[in-house]
Amino acid sequence: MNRRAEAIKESLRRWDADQIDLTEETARYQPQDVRMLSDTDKALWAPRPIRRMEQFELRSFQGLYWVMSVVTCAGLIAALLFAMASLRDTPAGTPLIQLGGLMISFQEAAVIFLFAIGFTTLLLHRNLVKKIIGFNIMNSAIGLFLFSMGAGGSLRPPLAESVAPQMGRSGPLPGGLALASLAVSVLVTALMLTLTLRLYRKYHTLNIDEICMHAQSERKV
Amino acid sequence: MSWFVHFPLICILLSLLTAAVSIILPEKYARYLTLALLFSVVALSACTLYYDAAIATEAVTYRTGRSGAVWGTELRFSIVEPLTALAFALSMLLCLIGGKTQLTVDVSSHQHGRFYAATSLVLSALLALIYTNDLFIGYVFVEVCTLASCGLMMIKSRGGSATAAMRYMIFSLLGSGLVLLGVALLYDSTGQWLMPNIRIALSALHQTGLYQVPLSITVSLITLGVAIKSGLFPFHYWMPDAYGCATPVASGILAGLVPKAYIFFLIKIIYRVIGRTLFYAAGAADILFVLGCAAIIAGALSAIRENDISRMIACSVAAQIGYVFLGIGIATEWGMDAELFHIYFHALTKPALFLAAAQLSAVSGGSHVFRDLQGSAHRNKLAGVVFTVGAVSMVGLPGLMGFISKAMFATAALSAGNKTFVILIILCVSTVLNAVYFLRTVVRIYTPAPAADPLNVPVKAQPAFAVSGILFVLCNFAIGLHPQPVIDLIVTGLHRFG
Repeated sequence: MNRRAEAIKESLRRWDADQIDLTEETARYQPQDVRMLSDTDKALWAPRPIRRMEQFELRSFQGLYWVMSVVTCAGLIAALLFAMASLRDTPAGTPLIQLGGLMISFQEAAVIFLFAIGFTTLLLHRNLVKKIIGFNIMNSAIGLFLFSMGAGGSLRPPLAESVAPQMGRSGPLPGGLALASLAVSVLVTALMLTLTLRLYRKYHTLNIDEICMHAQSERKV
Repeated sequence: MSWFVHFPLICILLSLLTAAVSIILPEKYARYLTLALLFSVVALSACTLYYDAAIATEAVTYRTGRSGAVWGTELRFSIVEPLTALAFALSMLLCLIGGKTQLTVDVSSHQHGRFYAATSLVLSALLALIYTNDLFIGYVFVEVCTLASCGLMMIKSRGGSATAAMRYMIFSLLGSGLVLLGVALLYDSTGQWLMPNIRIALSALHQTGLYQVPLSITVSLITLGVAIKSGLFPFHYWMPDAYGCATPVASGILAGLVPKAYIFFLIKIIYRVIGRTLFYAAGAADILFVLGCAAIIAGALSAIRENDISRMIACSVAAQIGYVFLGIGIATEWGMDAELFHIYFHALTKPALFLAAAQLSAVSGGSHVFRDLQGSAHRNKLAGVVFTVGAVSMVGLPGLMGFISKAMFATAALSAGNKTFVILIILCVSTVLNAVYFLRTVVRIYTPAPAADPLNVPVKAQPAFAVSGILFVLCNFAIGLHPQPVIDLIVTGLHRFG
């Protein structure tokens, strides 16, 4: 029992000295092994506490992030509204809504708002998990946009043409592309979650600012 | 000779295949396989370049699959594409050869297969971005490149690599999101994915004068996305961490090649999709010009502040990216020529600097800090020479590639109208700043260390590093002394590019 605790302490020491591969080493131990360590030992390898000055910096950034988020989100929404609204001079059967004098379809309005929210979250939210959620919202918005283009295409259906010639066929390409971008986003999410897990194990926090501060102070040491 | 046209597709498929196979192979065989792949890509690209430059009279459009027009996907290449592929593959090959020892130190042996798989994937993405004529395929490989680069970065699981990889991923994803939205908007307004078809639709739209605002926003989204991904000022803060923390081979590939491939894709979009007239009319070139100038100065200043050799080289990447965007921002034929030459120059110089810096720090007790590097060039003479040649080339000493690149930018400035003086001043200031941080390092590594220092023992250069270092230096001198063939290829190539 004691030897096991010593072994953990030894690997933590080597981890601190940057001599070991983190993923390999953590796979060897179970959570109950770490519980065997005394509180003083645990405190030794906990990340360095953030100093008061740094806490002040972190807090003072909070307000700035709010302002920046609102500005980014509003800017993106405005730009995208202008980009998409005039693309639909002849509405293809989709219901239109009016936003600030611009006519736009429901789907595109949803795309614009979702994209802006996702982008802003990914850029400016401090929590890593929420950043990943933001990325997923952003990518789903583009998926929806690609998907909405496939509806009501002018291609002819190969078999049903003789019975219902007026129906047309929805384009297969946008759906396929939405699927491709979905696959990419799943891969990216998996990778980002792995990284988040790694960072959380090391620094015990999900706040990217705090993580960067810890990493910076490690480098100075 | 007509079967030479199949080579680009073969290169892409071979790299994808190698990536899949090398992940399950033992370390040694994965390395041999990747080296063989890089040798063959260099050879095949050289053959394609020969075919395009000497035999073909116009760009080759290579259609994959039997369905054409709207449904198929295409590769298109003239001279510039195989030339870029050749430069990138050569740089990657020399990088892998030279960084072997450092790789075994930084990456645990069971991870090597994954490292080589990621390298082959990056190569496949670079080649696909260089050759593709399909906008969506371009986007997909932009993402493949991002994921594989992240793999290369985080495979060294020590130091701050996880933090660096996370910041890199966040910025890359913001960039890809914007690129994808821009590309989707282009598809929405034209209904096409193949670049020439979009170009036809867009020029028709441009002539009618309708939809100017949405088109400008679309152009800006794509440009902004690529700028964020390649780390243009003010989106360059992740760079020193990302490139400074990775293993030197990965740093060389990530800093020298990956951002350049994104920029090459942007150039392709400017020439083949949007058209240069529309791009300049949207005002994107002027914004890139301003940001490029700012990046050159900001990158150089942050490099001067650094106290760590790899981070300093990484900061200088930000300045070089600034040059490349400055070339686009000049908005003339000359600017584009200078910019492409700068891409090749940077791809063949920066990896050498990263490798030499790693060798120098290896003989200084593994420290990257300038204080400890004192006298390291006396301990490892070859690394000192390679670093010095790379550094003075970056500063722009005549006889080396860097000088030609700066001379081309200066020539481009003369025909740039009201931007002339700004460009010339920026070039002068940047040369002085480059000299400050690179020559300071050179002086430091050649200052003899105190005799009592236990590290003060000469070390014989490793044969692998010697081969790649000498080849990098030779390339730099060869093109620096005889730049005309390369410049001719670029000029003719860009005429056939659009």
